[in-house]
Amino acid sequence: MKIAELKKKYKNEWILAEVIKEDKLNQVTEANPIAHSGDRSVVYKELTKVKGKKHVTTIYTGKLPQKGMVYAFNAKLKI
Amino acid sequence: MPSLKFNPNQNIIVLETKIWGTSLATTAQLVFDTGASLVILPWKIVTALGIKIDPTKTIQTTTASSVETATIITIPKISVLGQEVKNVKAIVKDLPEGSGVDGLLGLSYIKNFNVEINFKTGELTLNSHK
Repeated sequence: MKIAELKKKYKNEWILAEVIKEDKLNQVTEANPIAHSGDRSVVYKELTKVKGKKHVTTIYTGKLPQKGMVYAFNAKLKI
Repeated sequence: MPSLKFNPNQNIIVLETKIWGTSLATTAQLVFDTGASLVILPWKIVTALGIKIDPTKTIQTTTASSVETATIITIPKISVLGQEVKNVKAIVKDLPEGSGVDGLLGLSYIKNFNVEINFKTGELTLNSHK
């Protein structure tokens, strides 16, 4: 399934999908859904069940950032 | 020169980041963050990748609100925009559920490149130092 179709089908959700095709810049262009949920932890749990030499991807199809939220990441290393 | 088109009106830059583990590879959504010293990945992704986690290997991290202890790992290989880097240091930490991303692409990866960001055209370019 094309990524655009995947995002359209599962709006505002987290998706775990097996990668079928990526371009030379590592942008996933086609993937088959394995799991989807509004809850990220559900998708992560499914990810830990994937076995074998596979290439998978996690995708969030909602708006970034979510309404009313801004980002302020900070994780400077203190040695 | 590998470059990514991004939406300059969106207040974060998210990069599709391919991460290799012992058998599995995953493409995660990481925020390009020059304010983060290291790459940050969530526990479940690191576990799924089969990357060895040594609970005795920890570091102190200073965040905007506190000082925390985090587990440090070495990721065998990361590739962004086709630019591969091996043995990248990262810390294991879950970002808040509402973040909509998997983690952060910090300096332990970014420092390997000359980075150009054009907010007028919405273009990010990674040039190798070599």
